[in-house]
Amino acid sequence: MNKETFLEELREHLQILEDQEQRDIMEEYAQHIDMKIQKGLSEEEAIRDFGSVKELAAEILEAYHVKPGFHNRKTSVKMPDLKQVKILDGKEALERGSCWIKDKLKRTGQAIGKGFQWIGKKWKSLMEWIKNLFSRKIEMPLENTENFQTDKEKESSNEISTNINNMRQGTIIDAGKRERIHTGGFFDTVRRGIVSLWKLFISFCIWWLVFLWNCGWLMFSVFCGFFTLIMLAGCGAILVLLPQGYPLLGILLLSLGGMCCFGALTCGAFTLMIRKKREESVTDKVDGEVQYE
Amino acid sequence: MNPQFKKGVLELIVLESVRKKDMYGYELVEEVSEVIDVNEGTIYPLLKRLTNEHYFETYLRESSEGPPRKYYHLTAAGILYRDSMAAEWEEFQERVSRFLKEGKGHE
Repeated sequence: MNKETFLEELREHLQILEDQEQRDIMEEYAQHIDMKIQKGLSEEEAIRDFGSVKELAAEILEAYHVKPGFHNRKTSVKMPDLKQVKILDGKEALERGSCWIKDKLKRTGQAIGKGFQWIGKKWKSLMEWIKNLFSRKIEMPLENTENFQTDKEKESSNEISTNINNMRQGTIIDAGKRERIHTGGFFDTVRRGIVSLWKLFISFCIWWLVFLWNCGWLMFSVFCGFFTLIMLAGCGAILVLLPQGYPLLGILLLSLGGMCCFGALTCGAFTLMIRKKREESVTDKVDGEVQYE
Repeated sequence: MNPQFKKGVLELIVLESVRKKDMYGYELVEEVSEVIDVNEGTIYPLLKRLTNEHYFETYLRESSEGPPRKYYHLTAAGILYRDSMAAEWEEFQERVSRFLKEGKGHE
């Protein structure tokens, strides 16, 4: 062991002392070794006379009333040496990590978006199907009437043609034809009556359904709104109490969260109601068109 | 010599050495080594402790050879401490030697 390594090792053990003290001690020992060398001893011998560095350090620390084992215990759980840790490596790892997280987030976001899109499509098609179910029932009689009208037109055109035929071929067939037309007219009125009744029934059913739906949502929104107001009042009370030193921060957060939640539910219920009303107006329009026809 | 004996007496020897005249570290080590064989390394911590307890004060003095040397000087408190220690030592060694003599007398 030469002078430098001895002093460095000793300094390692005396890390706990002030820098000035460390420098002081180092100077003393360096001087001592130098003097021994001057007297003709070798560096090795001069240092060997000090004995174990660890024991020497323990004795020095004892002079400062420091627990000799303290530093050793501290070094055993020391943080990694900064010289050995490359900061750039850490930075790279961080960048890599953040890129990976970003990528994953993007992908999950896309997946969620796709999922919502899919749900939206399915919902739309379901709504379409439900709408069709209702409108088909309304349109079915409509088609019938149309068919009937076309039938009638056809028949009237037939009538014209038969009239022409009449003019050519005589009155016997004409009478039979007229009878047929007459019976067709009777069925027509019966069918028309049934259709109008059916239409009335369907529109009544729809109205009733809409009414029930709206009532349900209205009640729900009123309920939620009531809770929102309660939470708001609670928040106000807690905000007054909080500066007075009551430990109510958790409850404040809870009531704020509850307020937001119930507020959102109220709004959601209202929007659901309005949407249904729009559909109702559409059905109204269809009804109007039917009536117009 | 028993290292436990050395440890207790070393302080007194160092105090007495510095009382005679101000000394720097190496000089002191040599002086003490003449009296008792001691690990050179252990004298510096002792000097440090005695300085921290204000029995010594230090000053630097230029030397003809090499860097300036740190001299140790015994303070008034150090003199009192040395005297009380010397008295303690006298009493201690008297008692011990008397006891040992008594033991011899019984033989």
